[in-house]
Amino acid sequence: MINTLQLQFFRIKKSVTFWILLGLCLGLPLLSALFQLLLIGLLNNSPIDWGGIVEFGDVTVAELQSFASMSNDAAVLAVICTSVLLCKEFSGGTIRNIFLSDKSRAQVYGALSVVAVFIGAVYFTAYYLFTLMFNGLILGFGSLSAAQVANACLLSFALGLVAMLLSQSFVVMFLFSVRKTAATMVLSFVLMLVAPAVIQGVVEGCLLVASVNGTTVADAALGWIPLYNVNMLDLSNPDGALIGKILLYELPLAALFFFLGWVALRKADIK
Amino acid sequence: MAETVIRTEHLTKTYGALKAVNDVSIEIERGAIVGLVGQNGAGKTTLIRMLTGLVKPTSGSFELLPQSDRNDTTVAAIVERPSLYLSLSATNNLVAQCKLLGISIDYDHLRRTLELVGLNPTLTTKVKNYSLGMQQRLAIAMTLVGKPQVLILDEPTNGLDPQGIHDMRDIFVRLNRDCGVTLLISSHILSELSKVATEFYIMDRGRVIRRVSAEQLDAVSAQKLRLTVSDVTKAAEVLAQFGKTSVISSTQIFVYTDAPSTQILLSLAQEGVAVTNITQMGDALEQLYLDALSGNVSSTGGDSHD
Repeated sequence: MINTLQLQFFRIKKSVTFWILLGLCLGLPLLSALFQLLLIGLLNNSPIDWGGIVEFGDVTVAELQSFASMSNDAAVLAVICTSVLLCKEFSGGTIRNIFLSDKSRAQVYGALSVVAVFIGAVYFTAYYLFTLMFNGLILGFGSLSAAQVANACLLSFALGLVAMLLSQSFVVMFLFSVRKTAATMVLSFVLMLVAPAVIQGVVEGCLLVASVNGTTVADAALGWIPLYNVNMLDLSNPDGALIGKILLYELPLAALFFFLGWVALRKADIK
Repeated sequence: MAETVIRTEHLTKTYGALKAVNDVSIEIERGAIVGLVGQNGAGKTTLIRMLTGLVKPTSGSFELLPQSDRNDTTVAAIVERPSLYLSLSATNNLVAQCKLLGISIDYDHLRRTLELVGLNPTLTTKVKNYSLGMQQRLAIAMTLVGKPQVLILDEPTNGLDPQGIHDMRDIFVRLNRDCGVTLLISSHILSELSKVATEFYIMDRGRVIRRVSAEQLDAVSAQKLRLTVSDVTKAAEVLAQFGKTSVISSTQIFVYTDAPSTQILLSLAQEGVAVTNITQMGDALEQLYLDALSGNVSSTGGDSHD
């Protein structure tokens, strides 16, 4: 497994795709911070009433909060890179060299899964740190105290890593099931982008119906809805029970998808 | 007795109703060069895929080297097409292979390996810009980098020019002779395979239908001559003294013999048989292969495998 990992890290080092996408992890947060600076400036100076002045610091907190969702930009970049890099092993036939070098299927699976998680972690960390840096420098943290900022950062980073683990588990599952770059990418995007959006749409539709009928739904109940509950997170005032519910779904789901990937590879015929 | 390095027992692979490999039991001894011969769809590639662990057998078992001899570098293979990282250079492909095999990267060894297969080691071009022949040469270099004990090659000369085929043949023979590498080579080019291999398994519709040893091949390596004559019945009687004969039409007859053509022609002339044409036919392996496919076991030798 160590040898396979060394091979993959060598490939990563030589991969243009990896470095270009990693460059985007630096460029996009900078562009995003500058764009938000411009947009908020325009909004606050607009003659139209937008419901009060928009605080720069609120935007930073919202931005960090978005990292807790698996549909964040870093996860998207990680899915693209992982699909391109690892599916090439199958499309180019080089996966055969790996199997031939007396590696068991479990070792090959383990090594490629570790690489997928590594790519996700690198992209997420880079994107997160640059967002924190650029947003912090350009927009600031608003009225949050230093302790609150530290808490918010740690929490969003930890939840973001778990969300990244979940989105990369989709990639690993499809990688070993369909073994084609485009299909792996598209199917992963469907699960990580479309599925939460659909769940959110359904929940908000139901909430709307409930409000029309004069009934209310408790936040505690909504917190049990998987992939939706992460939207209810408030970094400035974190709810431990809600965080527990988020992890309760995301960690077992990630484990399930990694397991399904293994099932797909275990007896598969390699072309 | 030589040690068996590849052994399959009743190996079978089915895809739905299709038996791609059907009850194949073979044994290959250390130091042999074995040719795997068969038509398209005969099951050669599926058999090799099973041996290399890419495809799980439906039933049966196999052993590729005793477990005590196995490590990352002992077995290397090319299956169907070159397995290369197209966005890397040739040298970097070899570096990647070294990392995979867990061997230290000796650039001198890599350079020599590239030179051995006829590639320029200073070329930094990405492999995706290589011709199929160059990619095939690099794929062979990839298999050699770990100095394997067993090399399994599926159509290794695909895409190579005649010089390349000749060079590869030399490499295989040298690896076998100088390093004791056991080779299992599947190929459609029987004339090339017969120049390298010392033993052959002929496959048809998933089964090994015949095993041919070097001795058996030698036994049928006699010249095969096709003669066009005025009287085939009389010619058959005359030619019987030179070797086995086979009448193929009212004017044509085959004779398997080492005797000089002049002696044959003289004997026929003495008996009043006119010869209007005499042609030397294909090689022994081709003859054995065609005979095996047509179910003709007894005429030319070889062990039936059924």
